[in-house]
Amino acid sequence: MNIPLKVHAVVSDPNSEAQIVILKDEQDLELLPIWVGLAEGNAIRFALEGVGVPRPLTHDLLRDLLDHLNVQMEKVLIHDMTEGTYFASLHLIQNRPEAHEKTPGNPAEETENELTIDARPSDAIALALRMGVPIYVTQEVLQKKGSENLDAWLEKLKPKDFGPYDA
Amino acid sequence: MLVQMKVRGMMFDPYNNAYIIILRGEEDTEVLPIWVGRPEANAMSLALEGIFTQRPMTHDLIKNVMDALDAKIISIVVTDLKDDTYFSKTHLSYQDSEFTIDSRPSDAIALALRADAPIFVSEEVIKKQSSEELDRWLENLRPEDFGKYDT
Repeated sequence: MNIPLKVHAVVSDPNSEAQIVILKDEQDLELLPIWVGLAEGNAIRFALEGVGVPRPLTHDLLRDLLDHLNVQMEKVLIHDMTEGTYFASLHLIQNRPEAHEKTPGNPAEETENELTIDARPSDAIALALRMGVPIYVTQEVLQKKGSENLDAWLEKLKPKDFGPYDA
Repeated sequence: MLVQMKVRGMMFDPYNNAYIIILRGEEDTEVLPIWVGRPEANAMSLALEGIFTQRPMTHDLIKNVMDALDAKIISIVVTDLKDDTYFSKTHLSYQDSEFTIDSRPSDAIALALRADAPIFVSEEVIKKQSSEELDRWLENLRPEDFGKYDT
């Protein structure tokens, strides 16, 4: 079962330049923090805040690329976690013209081709927000994460670190 | 008129806390410095040094998406310079059609390096960039900053 998540906030890690993307499930029962780089954290923040930029950023370029090529995105899925690294995938739908004998009144048909592309969660989330598609996590990943001791870390966070975003 | 250029060097600019990508034409007389931020410089140096990261970085993801779709980058062109901002376009072919996508030069170049696609710069841009200021700046650069990369 895949659980839908929303991006709750992007906070700065006080110990480094890294950013932490905090994902929550819809019932606010589960919390999934993912460490990402500065550029990726900013990309996600900009999408959350609806910040317009004068020139397309890298994830805007990827979104524009998919739009131009008429490729739809179905969802993003965080499907694995190994040794502290999360793995995600982009689920795309490519429209392909069918090689077809065209007869009058019978336009060439299109077939849909589903593609799964390996991605870091940061890129996947940054793109999902720009394309307005859902972000899912597998039950297994949530269970794996549950076994880590997050309580100590959470106690260190101040309430104001949790932002007003609800995406 | 378009001039083909290659990435020949990258430097850190301490005055602006930014990185400079140095493009040079075949004749070596045309030089185009493009200022970029650290993440963009990182993306480019990984491609230039041929370093493959364990997990795909953002430009690797874009390249992987294009490969999966069977879309190919034909070239990238730096088309304009306005108010200190460079404009560029990425030309690609997909399903028997050609597409042009507006992109920042840093992203376009990062992709071109990964796709081994040529980089072109409009002559007007090179002329606009050429100025006394540029000559003075060029004089301050050390010779070893140029020609570090053979792309």
